[in-house]
Amino acid sequence: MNNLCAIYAAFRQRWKLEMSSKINLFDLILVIPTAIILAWIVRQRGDQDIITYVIIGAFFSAIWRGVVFQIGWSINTESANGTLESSIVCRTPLIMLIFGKSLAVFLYKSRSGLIASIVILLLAGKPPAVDNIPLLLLSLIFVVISIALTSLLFAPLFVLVRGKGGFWNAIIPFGAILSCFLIPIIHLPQGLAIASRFIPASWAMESVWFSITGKTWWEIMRSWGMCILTTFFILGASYIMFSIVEKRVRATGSLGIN
Amino acid sequence: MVNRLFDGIVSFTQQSYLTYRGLFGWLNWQGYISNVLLRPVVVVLTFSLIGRFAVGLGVAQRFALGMAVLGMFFIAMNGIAQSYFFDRQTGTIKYLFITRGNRISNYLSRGICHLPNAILAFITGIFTAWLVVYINFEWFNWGYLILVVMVIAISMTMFGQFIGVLVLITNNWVHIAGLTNSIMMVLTGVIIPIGRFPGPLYEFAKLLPMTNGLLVLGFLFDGAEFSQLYGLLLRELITGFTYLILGYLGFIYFERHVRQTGELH
Repeated sequence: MNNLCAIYAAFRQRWKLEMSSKINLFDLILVIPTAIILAWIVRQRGDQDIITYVIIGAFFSAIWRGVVFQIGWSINTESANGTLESSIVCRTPLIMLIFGKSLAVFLYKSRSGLIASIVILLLAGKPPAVDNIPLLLLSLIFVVISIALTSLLFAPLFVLVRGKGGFWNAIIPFGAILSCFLIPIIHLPQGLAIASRFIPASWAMESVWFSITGKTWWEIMRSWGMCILTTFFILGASYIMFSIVEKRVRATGSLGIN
Repeated sequence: MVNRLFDGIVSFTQQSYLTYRGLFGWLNWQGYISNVLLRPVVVVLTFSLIGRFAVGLGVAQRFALGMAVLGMFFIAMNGIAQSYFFDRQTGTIKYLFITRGNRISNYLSRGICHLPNAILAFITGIFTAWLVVYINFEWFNWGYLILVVMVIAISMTMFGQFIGVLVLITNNWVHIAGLTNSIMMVLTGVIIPIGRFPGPLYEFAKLLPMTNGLLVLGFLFDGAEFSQLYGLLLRELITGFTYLILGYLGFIYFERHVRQTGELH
């Protein structure tokens, strides 16, 4: 219960921070050109299944970049601002606090995702079509949770890898490919598909694809099951890395990043 | 006379090296590998796979070719823009303004070292395209391909100078570079053929660098005779040169503005 309160407090703190910053029009505008391109591509064949998948995928793809980048830098930013100490000395594990923040960033960045989806919806030429709407809605919840939890991995990773300027410019978009936001896993080359199977979002997006194209309950539930399993795997890895970062801070009194 | 020319060449070479070494933020092994070698791979991969999934292999090959060229633009433009941005941010540009140093030489020196990065980005991008969507180079004339890629790289480096000065004036690298990259992706025929654009937009697209070069690459891809494409290639070069001149005028304007107001910010 206490942890839930802490997650909520971290969510509110981050939400207020996002809302207090000036509305960055560029963030919203920058997703439009890519959305136009995607709309033009899906318009060529006019396959409604593909249009629907890309509309949904563009939403999550736009959010992915924002969430991973913001959450990735969150520990470093808190360290620079001098607020990390309070997070470290409180009883709530750091990973819980960052999870609350990642939910807030997710919600905030969903505006960009929404704009991308609307642009594609307007330009794609055909309306989206879904075979099983209830299953799709459930699958979307899995995607949201898997993105929010996967982003946790990046917070300690940014500290431990200590990537210099521009290091993440290729890594984050590659994560979007492996998460299968715009291309279902069955359409990835085999090598990429194998790597993709370790990412929870790829399973969640597979269940989205199955809900759109009308696969059986059993197949969709199998994807959800694998999504939960890989999420535990990612959470375990995140927990270990958070522990290393916390231990480093407590032992040395610094992150060694400044 | 010969000595002055030699001094000029030495000074230009030094400036090129130092602006590159000191003001290119991604010149560390992590940033360099990520942006010059990996990012073009990721971008080509993304759009090749989307093209293959949503349309078909033939169209995906075109997307891959376009994105490999855009990868060149991304690294050249961002590298040059950084050299202006960090020069203003750190305040070092004021030392140029208080010297008698040749402004044209300083202006031109900022782009030279970014040209090889652009070509390297194209090579990694096109290699990815060959692996993923099986672009067939058997019937390609490699001499012509290298010539066209060089012309596009030079043209976009010149355009990068223009954008760099825009970044210098607005003091905003991230958003200007992001917006330019996005606009170029939509309007230059990287993905959407410019022939599909309505009249005025088509004419506007032809005024952008990369557009004519991409047309030449596309025609070569379709097996057209190179002798018919000289005009387009020349237009690509002239377009880049025009932006280079516009950028220089902006550079001079900025210096004048700084001298009048007495401050960089």
